[in-house]
Amino acid sequence: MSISAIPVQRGCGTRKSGGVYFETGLDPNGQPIEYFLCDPPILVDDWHLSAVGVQFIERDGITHILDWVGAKHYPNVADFLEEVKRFGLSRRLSSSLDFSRISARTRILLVHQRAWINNFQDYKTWNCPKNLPGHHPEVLTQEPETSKRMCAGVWWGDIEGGTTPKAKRLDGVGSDRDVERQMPSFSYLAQKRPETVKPQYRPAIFASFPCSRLVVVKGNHEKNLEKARRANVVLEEVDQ
Amino acid sequence: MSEQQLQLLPEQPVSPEIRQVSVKELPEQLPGSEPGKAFIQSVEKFGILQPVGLIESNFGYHVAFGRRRIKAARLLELDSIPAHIYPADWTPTEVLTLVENQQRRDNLAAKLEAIASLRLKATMNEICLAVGVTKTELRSAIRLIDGLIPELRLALAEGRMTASTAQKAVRLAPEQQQTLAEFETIKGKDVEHLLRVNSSASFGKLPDSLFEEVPPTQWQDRAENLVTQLLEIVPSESRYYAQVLELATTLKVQQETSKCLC
Repeated sequence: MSISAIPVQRGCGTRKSGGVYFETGLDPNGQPIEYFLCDPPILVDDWHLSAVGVQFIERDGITHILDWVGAKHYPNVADFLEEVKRFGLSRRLSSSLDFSRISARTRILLVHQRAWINNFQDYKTWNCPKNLPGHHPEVLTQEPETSKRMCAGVWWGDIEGGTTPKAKRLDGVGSDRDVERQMPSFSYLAQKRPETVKPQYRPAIFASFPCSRLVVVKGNHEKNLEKARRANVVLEEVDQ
Repeated sequence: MSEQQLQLLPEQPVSPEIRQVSVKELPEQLPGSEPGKAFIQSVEKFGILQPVGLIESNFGYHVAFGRRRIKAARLLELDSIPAHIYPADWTPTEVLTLVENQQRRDNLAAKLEAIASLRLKATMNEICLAVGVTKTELRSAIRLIDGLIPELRLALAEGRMTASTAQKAVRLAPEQQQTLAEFETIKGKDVEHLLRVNSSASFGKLPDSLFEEVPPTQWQDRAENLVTQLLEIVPSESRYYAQVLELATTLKVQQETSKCLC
């Protein structure tokens, strides 16, 4: 049995019949989600990417996928990552793609409109998800303007659309910025943006995930299944 | 086939009658898109500058062109609007619709020139409100004004480059635009080729870590085995036993709640 993602209602809705999806599944022996984060994120605003659909990129003879995660369904980068952490990754691929270019070595690189925050130092505190010593707020806030890096930890301190948490944090560390963010199938705790901060966002690559399998959702799916069979990865038909 | 084509062509040109027509006399059901907010505001402020095109028949009017203007007039409760009235048997309504559309094609170069000049005198909001364009349309125009080198703007004005190609060309570096400007006709595929070259260069600079094979960890299994062994070694009456037991419990709890990715 292949490693799979969990089919639930996600920020972008439920899977559609006949749709082809790229999955990174959950595995108790796998790497934690932090392993797959780009920390710091990689700026792409001079790449002039289209914010719609996916795009193939070639590198060392291997095709990878560049996919823009829409801020409409996932206004916060953390919304998306927390969802992947719980249910694995599931991203729809256009049926017009040349699936023969997808292999087991294909990565999906994810871009978000808000992944880079120019003035991230204004957030003052964050916890680096990768525990990188150089990403400690005391280090990063002292960096000169010309060589600024950013820490992915800021994503969890820049939450829009959260509500006052029902329960206090178990670790006892509370802040008046604590919020509970409700997503369609789960909720998570994070921190809202400091009131005085006006974020200067720039699109950036924020994570890179491998392909566990492709799935085609049953229901008028024969044509797309045939197309997806050209991919050199595990392919399965699923009910949802 | 040729007989049908001939029927589409009018026998001779006509000069339409220009007059104000009551909005109530015009058909209520009109196909096509609804007028946008900016368009309605523009009609409200400036009125209808370009008369709509109507074909008069015994049963009333057929609308050949200007449907959005009529819809906007109706929304603004205007009594009458200016119209060009064509005779019923001159040419089919559909032909007039298409011909008018063809003749009225957007003159992007003129539009850019006007926006570039207006931008020096007014804010984006003021321009949108006055001209009746959306902010997205205005931003797109400004991107061309700021992003195209003068030689390519000239190529656009001269018709050597289409508007859609210009929208792509604006994404190129000035030196790449300079190369394009030397072409007699600047084609979309030439621009796309240069964009692909740029993309490949950008992808090549991405760190290797994004593409590395994911190493297996299996740390939970190994840790659990070690803790199980510890539980066998440490006597249950020892003060350390409780700590090891707690660790074993924690590890199991973590295995159930903290899922990892492949």
